[in-house]
Amino acid sequence: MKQLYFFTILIFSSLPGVAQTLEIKGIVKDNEGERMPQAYVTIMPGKLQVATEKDGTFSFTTKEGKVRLSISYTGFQHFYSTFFLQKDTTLIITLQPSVDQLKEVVVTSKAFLQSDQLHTTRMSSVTLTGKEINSIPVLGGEADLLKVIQLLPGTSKGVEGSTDLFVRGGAADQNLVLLDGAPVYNTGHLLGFLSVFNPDILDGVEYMSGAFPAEYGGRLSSILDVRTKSTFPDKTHVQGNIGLLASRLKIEQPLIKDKLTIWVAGRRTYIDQVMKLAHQELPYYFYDLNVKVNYHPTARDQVELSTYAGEDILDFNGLSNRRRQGNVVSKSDIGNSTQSLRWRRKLNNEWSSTLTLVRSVFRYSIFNKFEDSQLFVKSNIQDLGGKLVLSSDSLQGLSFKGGIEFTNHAVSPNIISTSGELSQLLESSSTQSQNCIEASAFVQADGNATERLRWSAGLRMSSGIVSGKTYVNPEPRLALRYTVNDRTTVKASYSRMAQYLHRVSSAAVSFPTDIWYPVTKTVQPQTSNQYSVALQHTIPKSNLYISVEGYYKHLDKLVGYREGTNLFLNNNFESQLIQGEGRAYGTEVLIKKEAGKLTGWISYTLSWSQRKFNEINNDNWYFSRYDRRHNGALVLNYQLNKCISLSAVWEFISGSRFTPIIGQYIVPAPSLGGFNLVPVYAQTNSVKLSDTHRLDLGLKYRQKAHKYFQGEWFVGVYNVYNRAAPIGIFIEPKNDGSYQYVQPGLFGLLPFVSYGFKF
Amino acid sequence: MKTIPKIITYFITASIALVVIACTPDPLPVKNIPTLTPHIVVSTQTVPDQSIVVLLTKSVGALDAGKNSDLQTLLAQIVVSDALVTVEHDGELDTLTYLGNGLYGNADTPILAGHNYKLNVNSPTVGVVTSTTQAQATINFETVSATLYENEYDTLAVINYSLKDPPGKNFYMVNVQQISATETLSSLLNPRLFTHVVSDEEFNEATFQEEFKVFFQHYSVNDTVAVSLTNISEDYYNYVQKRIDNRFSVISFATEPFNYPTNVQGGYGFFNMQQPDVRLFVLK
Repeated sequence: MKQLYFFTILIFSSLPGVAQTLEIKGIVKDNEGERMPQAYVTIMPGKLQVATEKDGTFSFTTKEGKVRLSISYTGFQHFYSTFFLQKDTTLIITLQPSVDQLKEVVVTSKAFLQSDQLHTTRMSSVTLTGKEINSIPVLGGEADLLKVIQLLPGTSKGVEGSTDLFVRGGAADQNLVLLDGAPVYNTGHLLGFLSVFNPDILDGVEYMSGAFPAEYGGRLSSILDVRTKSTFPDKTHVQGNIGLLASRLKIEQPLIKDKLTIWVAGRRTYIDQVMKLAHQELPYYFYDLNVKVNYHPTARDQVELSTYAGEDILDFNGLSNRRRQGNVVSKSDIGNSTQSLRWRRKLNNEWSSTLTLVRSVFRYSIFNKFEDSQLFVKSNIQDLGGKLVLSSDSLQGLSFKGGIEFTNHAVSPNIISTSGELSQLLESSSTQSQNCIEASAFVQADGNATERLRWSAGLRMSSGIVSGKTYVNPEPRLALRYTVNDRTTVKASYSRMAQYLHRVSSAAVSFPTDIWYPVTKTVQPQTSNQYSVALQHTIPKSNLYISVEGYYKHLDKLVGYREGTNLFLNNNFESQLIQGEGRAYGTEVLIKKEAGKLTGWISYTLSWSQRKFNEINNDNWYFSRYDRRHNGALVLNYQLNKCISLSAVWEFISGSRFTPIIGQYIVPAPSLGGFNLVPVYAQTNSVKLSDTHRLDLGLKYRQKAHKYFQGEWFVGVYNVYNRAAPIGIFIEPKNDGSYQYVQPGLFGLLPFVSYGFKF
Repeated sequence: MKTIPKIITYFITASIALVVIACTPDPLPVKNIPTLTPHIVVSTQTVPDQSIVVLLTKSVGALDAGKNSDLQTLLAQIVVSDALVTVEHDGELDTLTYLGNGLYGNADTPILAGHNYKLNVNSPTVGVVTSTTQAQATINFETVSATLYENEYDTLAVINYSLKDPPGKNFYMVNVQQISATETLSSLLNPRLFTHVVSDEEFNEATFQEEFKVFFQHYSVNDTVAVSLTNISEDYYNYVQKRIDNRFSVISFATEPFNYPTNVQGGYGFFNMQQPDVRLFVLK
């Protein structure tokens, strides 16, 4: 039998121990050299326990003498070692996969495991790895984080193919998406059909839909914390992918061994170049560029500088003359950029600090010219902010996290400028520039009330400061975990959230040109109160994690618009804005298999989501647009052998709500020069669209590994049986001149193929 | 130009082929759409000779008519011809006579600005509706002209007019309509007519003057256009404004659906007591 583990002790520090207290520091890695966060490290005597940090590090202080060290991590063999501690010591520990898994062809090693939640008070959250995200067949074959999130319980999708998330009855603008700590405002390319996250750069993703820790705030419904890779490779690594929609390339370069590294990743649409080869022109492309520098100046410090820029550009000016339509000139440019600087410092044996400085910009500009008419639209929001967190992370006794956060949202005027004949139809206008300062202080403590009962209590005091008005919201958070046995826990939580920014968009669908707008003197912050309970259970032998959750969420001061408001190029939206309330409740089930040949999950959500606005539906409660009663997904990945893996996604979702035209009447036109047909709509969202289901299949073929090169083909089919996912109910004429209702969908059977490589 | 490596060419060709065979799914059938019970629809017109005419029709299902429907056939199906129609005003009760084609009229009802009028409609087959409105004072153009505007792309009509705003909160509607001898009834369903509304918020009790171009119509020399100015109620102003706001809502699934306002209790449409000032011009 192979050696179960090997253990390397490197003694870097030879400082004599001061008094009787000595420090043990270490890094936990897997057999491939990847650092392992959330591994459980125990020191005896004293039964001190800590979880490793995101970079796999841990540290203890203990007394001189005989020490027994134990490290556990799901899917890996337990590590034990006993040694005599007589001075400060640094360890590098490599965990080996468990024997059961070695028997299988491929070991799935993950930095974040769902089943680890049993050790904490965390619930309503899911962790995903880059590997999981990359293995799932999606629209166009381009691995997409947000499409994977849509397959998780509690998350409802909007229009088929879009990256909008409707979480536990919330709206699409109530999700805080963080890329290395910086908020990302526009998460989609291609009108929202592809997310802006390059799958090659993803390290791990934590997705929270409830029981929010106090350090997070600013949105009501979910937090999507996306972390990019922060490894220290030994040599240059290059990886890339050529797909139907986009091609991408990532280069990782160590600059100082184990101290300083940089990676650069780029992605660009392929489609305009493909069209060129087919002698067609498509004047559209998008690109993403990510750069990250990781720096470990000292053993106590870790600095990360992460930057992202991405744009969607549609430029008819670049077309050859034969393709240009008459006198039309059109150019639009929609882009995000984020920068974040994160400095983690181990202050002493118990305390560490994390300082994060962020900048995030979302902007768009559109210029159209037709004959003598011109339209120019421009919008811009820029966030500058910082967050300082102090934490003491120990599972024995009390652990503490506290900090402050500050963000200045600078909203530039939304400018609509028209000239020529168009100026009469659409007057030039602009909104006022706005500044909104969000300042928060938070504190959270975790501890054990009894051996079985663990608690986590926090308070976030948030404020939104705009011209002439300051809003303050206390946001208490509480989570409890009761350990039934070592495999089963019961949890409960309460969290209140406040939101000081909203997106001006219709309830049905968002567009990249929707603008973000802060609270004002009259528009109050949105708030939510959420209660949830959960039962979590693991079956280690089968690598299964099972979670059943129930939740109730009440939303207040939700932003809506008066009936009949046309938000398209309308700068007068504030006068049309109304505020109301919402409620959502449901049950979610997640069964996840995290290791072995077969991995994947089954998710199911039974939920209700309703709204109430004074001026809509006669002040009665009505179902929200994306109230979907049943929402289920089966996600499977099977490692057939060393070279081939198969993946499948089957999804079932109840139809969303819709307000169809049910009648019409005829009235003389105001000029009396003809007659108008005026539509009569059903009650708001009173009709449910047809349920839909979809099967996607994928096959990944990994070429036999060469010494320096590894290639991988990924082929598959989206929507195998070509079933429509309805976007609405519309009326269309039949051949005989009569009319019929139809429910069209956007995407049918769509095959994909991509080739990935790394060396 | 550099030669593209063969493998890339094959890959791109395969990619295009795959994209091409991608297909759009068939729309799903629709069930369980609520049925709309027919309601009375009221449309009114007062004319300068002090007569009042009410058109009564009934609403129809969403699939019963569309933009390609024949207006004459449609009107024949939906007019309400069995109603008792009365107008109450100043303690008087006038009964409107059925004139045919869903029209009910009375030439003896005095139209007095500022006075309230209540319409009662009782149809044994469709139902009962009522509506109350206030007669609006007739406001005439102070000046008005219609001329032709030409540029290298288009030929449009330009309307220049002024009016004297009386005290109080007032709302105006200006309509421009091309008069054509060959216009048929069937071409009058959802016509592209030009309607423009103005509120006196910014020129109360002053003379207001403006000029605008009439879009979506192609005009020629010697075309005849009718330009009308109507002092309208605030309710009707809001209705017309919403119609104008939503004329470009082409992406119907992305707009907020709503039902247009009405001042008819139990039905649809508008009961108005307003008289337009109509002028005819031959474009030069």
